[in-house]
Amino acid sequence: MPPVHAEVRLTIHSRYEEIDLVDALAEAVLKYAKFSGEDLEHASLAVREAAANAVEHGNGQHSEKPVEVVMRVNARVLTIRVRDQGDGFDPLALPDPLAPENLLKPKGRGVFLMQRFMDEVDFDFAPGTVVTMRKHLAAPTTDKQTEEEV
Amino acid sequence: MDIQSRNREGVTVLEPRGKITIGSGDVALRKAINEALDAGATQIVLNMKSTKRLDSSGIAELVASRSAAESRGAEIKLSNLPRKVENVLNITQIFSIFEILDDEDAAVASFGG
Repeated sequence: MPPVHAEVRLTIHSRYEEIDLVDALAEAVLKYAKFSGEDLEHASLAVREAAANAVEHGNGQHSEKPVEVVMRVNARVLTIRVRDQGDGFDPLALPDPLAPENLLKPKGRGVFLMQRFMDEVDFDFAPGTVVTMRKHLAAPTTDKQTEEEV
Repeated sequence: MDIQSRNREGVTVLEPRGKITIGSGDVALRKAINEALDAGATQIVLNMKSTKRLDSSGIAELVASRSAAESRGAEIKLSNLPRKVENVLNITQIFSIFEILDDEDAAVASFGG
């Protein structure tokens, strides 16, 4: 049976150790939405990457700056939104981490993993940086419920 | 995350236990690799059988460790990759910059004593 609509919100400080809270919550919500196995592992890693980017790059590790996370699930799709207070960036300008000249560069794989592991990843930059990720539930449904804006 | 260290036939084996992720496991891995290199290790195996999760910061430390080792004439090989770790390394094509062995014995032996 597909899960009913649910929404959870979490605000963390910009501290690395609090990313584990986002990770744990994402895993719980993904399980609630009936994700399992590789899908669960991949999607929760994508959420971790989004939170880590918000803490490290968006908020510059200023612990007093919040990172707001909203996770919403309905019968068709899981939507996760992560907001920081950063100035944003151009996602199209990010180097391709698979290019041979970049394979030996330590950084630059976070957004790539998010895009590989989620069905949709969108960025919005006013105010702060907002990344919205969507993962469609595997089971088709006749439920007419539509996703509302988080 | 703690890292077990042992010496086998002149090969330094490091076994991270837990998550290699931003802010904790990645720092611990960097410290363990640097300590091994400072101690003169030139043949290092990272046995990852107990690695529970690897994020992009963990990958960054693997790549940086490879470069640090190479600059000091050392080599790092990986072994015992859990499926989910192997999956992330495949997707990011990091597998192409490391020699990866199925198990620790094979990794140690591959250095040729």
